[in-house]
Amino acid sequence: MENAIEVVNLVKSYSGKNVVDGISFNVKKGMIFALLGPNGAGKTTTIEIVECLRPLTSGSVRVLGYNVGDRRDEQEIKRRIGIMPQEFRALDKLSVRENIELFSRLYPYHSSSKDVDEVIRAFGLEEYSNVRFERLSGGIRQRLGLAIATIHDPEILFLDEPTTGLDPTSRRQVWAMIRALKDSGKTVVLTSHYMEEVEYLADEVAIMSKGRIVASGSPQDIASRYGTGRRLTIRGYSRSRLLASLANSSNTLGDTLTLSMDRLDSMLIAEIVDMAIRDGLEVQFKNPSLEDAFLRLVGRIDEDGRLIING
Amino acid sequence: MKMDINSHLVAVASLARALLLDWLRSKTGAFFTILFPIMLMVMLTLAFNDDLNRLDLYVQNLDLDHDGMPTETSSSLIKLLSSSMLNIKHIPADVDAYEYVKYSTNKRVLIIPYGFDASIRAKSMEARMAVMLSTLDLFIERSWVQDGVRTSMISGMEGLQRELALRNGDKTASGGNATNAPPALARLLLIVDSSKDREYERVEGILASIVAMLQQSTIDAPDILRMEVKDVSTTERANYYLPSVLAAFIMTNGVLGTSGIVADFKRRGMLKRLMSTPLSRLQWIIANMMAQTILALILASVMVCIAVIALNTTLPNAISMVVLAIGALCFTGLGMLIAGALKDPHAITGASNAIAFPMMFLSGTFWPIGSMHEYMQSIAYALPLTYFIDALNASMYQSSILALQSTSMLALFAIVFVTLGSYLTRWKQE
Ligand SMILES: Nc1ncnc2c1ncn2[C@@H]1O[C@H](COP(=O)(O)OP(=O)(O)OP(=O)(O)O)[C@@H](O)[C@H]1O
Ligand SMILES: [Mg+2]
Repeated sequence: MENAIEVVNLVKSYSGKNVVDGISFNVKKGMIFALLGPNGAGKTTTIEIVECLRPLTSGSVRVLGYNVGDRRDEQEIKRRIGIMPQEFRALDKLSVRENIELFSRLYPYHSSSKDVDEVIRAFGLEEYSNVRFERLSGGIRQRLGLAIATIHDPEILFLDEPTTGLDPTSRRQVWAMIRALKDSGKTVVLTSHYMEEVEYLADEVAIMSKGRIVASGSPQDIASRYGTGRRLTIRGYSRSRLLASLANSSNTLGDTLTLSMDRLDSMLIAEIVDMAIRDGLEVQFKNPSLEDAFLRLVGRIDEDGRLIING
Repeated sequence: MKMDINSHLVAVASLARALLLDWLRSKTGAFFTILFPIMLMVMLTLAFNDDLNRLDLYVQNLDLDHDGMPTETSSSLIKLLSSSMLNIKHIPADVDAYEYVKYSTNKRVLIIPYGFDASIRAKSMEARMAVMLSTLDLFIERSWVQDGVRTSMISGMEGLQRELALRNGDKTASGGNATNAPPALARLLLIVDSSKDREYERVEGILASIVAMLQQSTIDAPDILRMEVKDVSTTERANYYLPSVLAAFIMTNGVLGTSGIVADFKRRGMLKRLMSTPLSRLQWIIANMMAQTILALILASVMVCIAVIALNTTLPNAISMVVLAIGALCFTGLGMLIAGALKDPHAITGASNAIAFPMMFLSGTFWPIGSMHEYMQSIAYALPLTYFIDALNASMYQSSILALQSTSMLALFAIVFVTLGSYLTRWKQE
C-alpha cells in the first residue's frame, strides 16, 4: 500500500530543546493512524509540522508526495488535507451553516451549497444549522469541526484530540463519524490520550513520549509486545489474610492486588479466586491491553492515580 | 488560471464578510460601531452648546488712553452692554481675537478699536455744528432777514466751518498726516465664526439695537457709529467636531478593531485554522482591510446621519468618502502592523491601546493643534491621524484641493503601514 505520509528523522527544537527528537514513521493511505502520548509528548508539534503550520528544524516530511517546507508544495498539501485543531473554535457569532460556508469558499473550486447541505446532514447538524457557534455544546462543536475539516473532500484528515472533553455518548458519535470517514477512503491521523479510543479506531499506533516514538504497530501488536500478559486483579485484598500474604509493594496499588497469571499455576489461581469470591471481593481477569503497554512504556500510575512519566 | 483568480476573490470576499458579521453581531462591535459614536457626538454637542454661556460676549477694548485706562466713551459703551442680555467677559488687549474666535466654539469678540472715543466725540461735534449750520442756512434764505444780519450770519457760519475744519485737522494731525479730512466714522468690530456659533445672529441683533440706541442718545443724527461684523468662518455651516470625531473613530476602530480581531483569532486558534487552508497571508490581510473599510464607512454614515439630522450640518461629498476609505486602510494597516510585530495576544491589545489613545489626543481631535504647545505640535505632525483629520476637514467643508496634501500624507502612511504590516505578519506558527 502507498504511503500518504512519510516522516524521516524529524526534529523540532524550541530554544535548543528538542521537543520532537528525531522521529520517523509512515502512514499508509486509507488507514487510521494514531499518535498516542501523555501531555507534552510532542503530538501536536509533530502533527502541525506535517500540516505545514510550523517549520521543522531538521528531517524530512512528505505528504502525498509533496515536500513540507517547499512553498509551492505546501500549497498543494493544504488543498488536499483537512484539519481539526486541538480545542477547535469557529467564528463565535456565525451560525453552523455560515461557518461551513466560509471554509468551503477558502478552497479553490469551492463546494456548492448542495455540498454544504450534504455535510450538514452527514454530521447530524441539521437542527443546529442556524445556531451560532458560541451557543453550541462541546460535542456539537467537535462535530462541526469534523464537518469543516471535510468540506473540501480532503484526502487526509488530521484530528488533534478529537474527543477530549466529550461525554461517553458524544465520544462514541464522533468515533462513528471517524470510522465513516475511513470507510469513505480517507486517511486519518489522530492524536489521543485515550487508550480505548485508539484501540477502537486505529489501525496503527505510535506511542510518543518526550519527543520520541517509543513503540509503534497495531494496537494489538503493541499490547502483546509491551503489555503485561494476562492478569488477575482483586480489589479489597487486605480483608483476606491469605491474599494479604501474597502482596508486596510491586503488585499492589491502593487496595488492589494484581497477579500475573503467567507465573501462577492454574490450581493456585482457582483457589485464590474461590477465596476472594467467598470473601465478597471484586475479581477481574485482564487480557494484555494497550493501556498496560502504554504505562510500561511511558511511566507508571502513582497511588493517587496520576501518570508518572519515566526517566 | 482565470478560475483561480476568481476563487481567490471569492475566498477574500467570504472571509471579509465573515469578519464583518462576526464583529457586528458582537455586543462590543455594535456598541463601538453604532452606539458609542452617537453618545460621543451628543456629549460633545451638549458640552459645547450649553445654555449657560450661550450669550457670552467677549469684549476687547483697544481704546485706551496714555495711562492704559479705558476712555470715557468706551467705558460707557461697556456699561451699556453689561446692562443688556449679554454676558460680558473681557479679554486682554494683546490677544489675537481672530485666532480666539477661530479655535473655539461659541465665542465671539467685540473689538472696540483705538480712537473710538475720539471718533465719537469728533463725529458728534461735527453733527452738532452741521445742525447749527443748516439751521442758519434756513434763516439766511428767509426774505425777511435783513441784509446786515445776513452778512454777519454768513461770516459767523464761515467762522464755524473754519472751526470745524480746524478741529478735524487737530484730531487727524495728531494721529497722522491728513488735514481737513472728515472725521472717521466710529467703528465697532464684531468677530464671529458662523460655522460653529449657533447664536451669533441673536448676539448681533442685540448689539445692533444697542448701537442704534447709542447713536440716538448722542444726537439725533445717523452715522456716527457703525458696527461691522467679521465672520472668520472658512467653512459652511457644519459641525466643528464632525471631521475630527469621525477621523478619531475610524482610527480607533481600525487600530483596535484589526489588532483585536487578529489577537482574538490567535487566542482562539482560528488563525491557525485559517493558515491550514490554502488562504494566503496576502488574502488574509486584504480581507481584514476590506472588512475594516466597510466598517469605517458604516461608522461614518451613522455619524454623518446624526450630524445632519440632529445638528443640521451639510452632507459630506464623495471626495470625503474617498478620504475616509484611505484613512480606514491606513489605520487597519497600523493594526495589522501591531498584530504582526507582536506574538502575544495580550501584548497586541495593550500596544494598540497604548498607540491609539494618545494619538487621539495628540492629533487635535478635541482641540486645535494651533492651541497646543510647540513641541506637542511637532509630535502632532508626525502622526497620521493629524493628516486624516486635516484631509477630512478640508474635503468636507473646504476644498478638495486643500485636502490633497494631507490626503497624500495619509496615503503615504497607509502604504508604509500596509507594507510593513504584511511583511511582519507570519503565516506560520513558531
Ligand atoms: N511555540 C512553542 N515554544 C516553545 N515550546 C513549545 C512551543 N510549542 C510547544 N512547545 C513545547 O513542546 C512540547 C510538546 O508540546 P505539544 O503541544 O506538541 O505536546 P502534545 O503532545 O500535543 O501535548 P498535549 O497532549 O498536552 O496536547 C511541550 O513541552 C511544549 O511546552
Ligand atoms: Mg497537543
